[in-house]
Amino acid sequence: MTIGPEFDDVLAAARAGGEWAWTRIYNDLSGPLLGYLRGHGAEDPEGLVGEVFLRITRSLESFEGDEDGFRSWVFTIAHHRLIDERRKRSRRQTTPIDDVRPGNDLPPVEAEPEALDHLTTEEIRALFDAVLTEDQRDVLLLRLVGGLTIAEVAEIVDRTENATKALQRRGLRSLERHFERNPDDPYPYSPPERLQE
Amino acid sequence: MTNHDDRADALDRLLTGEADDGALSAFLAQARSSLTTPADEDTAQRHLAEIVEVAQEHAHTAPAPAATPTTRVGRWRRRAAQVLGYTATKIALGVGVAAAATGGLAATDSLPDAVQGPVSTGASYIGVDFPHPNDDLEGSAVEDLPTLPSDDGSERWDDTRGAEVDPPADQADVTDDVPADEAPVDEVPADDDAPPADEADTGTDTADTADEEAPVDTDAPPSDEDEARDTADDAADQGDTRTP
Repeated sequence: MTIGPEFDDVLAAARAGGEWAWTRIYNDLSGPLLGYLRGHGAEDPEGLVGEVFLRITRSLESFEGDEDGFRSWVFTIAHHRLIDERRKRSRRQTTPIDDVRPGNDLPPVEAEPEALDHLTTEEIRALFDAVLTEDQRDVLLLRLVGGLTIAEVAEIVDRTENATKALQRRGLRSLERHFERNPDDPYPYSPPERLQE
Repeated sequence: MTNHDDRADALDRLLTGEADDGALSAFLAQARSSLTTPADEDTAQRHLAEIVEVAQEHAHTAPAPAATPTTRVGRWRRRAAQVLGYTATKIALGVGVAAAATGGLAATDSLPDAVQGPVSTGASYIGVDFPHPNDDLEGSAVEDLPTLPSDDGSERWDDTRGAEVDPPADQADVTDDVPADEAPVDEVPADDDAPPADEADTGTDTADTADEEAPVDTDAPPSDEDEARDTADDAADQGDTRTP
């Protein structure tokens, strides 16, 4: 979802503090931002989205560019905020999320095609954790939920476009192999409700 | 395109949902849908309230209206008017500066003749009197200029300013070689010593004008000197007629 031709007007109104403009921007970007933060396993993705938007609001005067540039800029802020959160988390020496997941000791359920319709955030995140490196996940999530181009992603993750393409290619190949090797059991984690089905 | 590139493009299409690759494609579509589920309504309202509050604190210098979006046409019209306004102001300022500078130079007759003439003519339409380049050739201004005698008996300007009275090479040599006191106007011989027509070319219009403007005592009887001058004038006139 994009704002489209009215983006300049929306941006100008947002700079002036227009509520309608911020509602438009929030509705357009909060979902992809949540997806990026959820896919990375942020502890409080909703809270982080609120922080990211407050940073956008305070820094909007410094932004110059079109809608694509704005989207890329927003995800850059989110990416940096996520890195900050990882550092804080590592300093707190918290237990890795994989070790506290409910059902981790439970036998995985058989994957059925219709079960894909009910994939949870935890299932997706567990699969990413098991199959992808952190860099591959960065690239895939920015492309998948952020809708960014290779060039924009390369800028955010501070890599060359070729390196970014390589990360994307390897990440997708890893996922593909995982599904080929585990046709009946693709998900390393299944939520308790799925086990009860 | 290599197989490697084909593969990369195929994955790209898969990632953007344009290609179907079984389980992987289904997983990616589901992951996108599931991960991007919006926050609940209360959270969204709370976020928006905080955002708008902060935005309005920072909006003291924002130029755009916050009430309704403007149309693209209206925005372009405003920009065009703004640009035209700036341009008109710059042009007016430039014209004013140029007019002031030109007027000042024109008033002191410091412009080249090619410019002085049009400026003087133009200014006369609005009642401003600037010297005209032709004015230099009239009135007492000529009398103020130093003159050198020419061997045809007429005087020519000691022109160090340009080519308007430059004599032909042979004539110039003669003039330069002859000191002024050795060939005074008074000693110009009479009719039989009048120079041939081609030498008289050196007089040009300037010599004529200088002679015409020279003060003449009309009460005094004609003298030999006057006759000699008349003869020289006649010779110069003949030269003028052949001079384009």
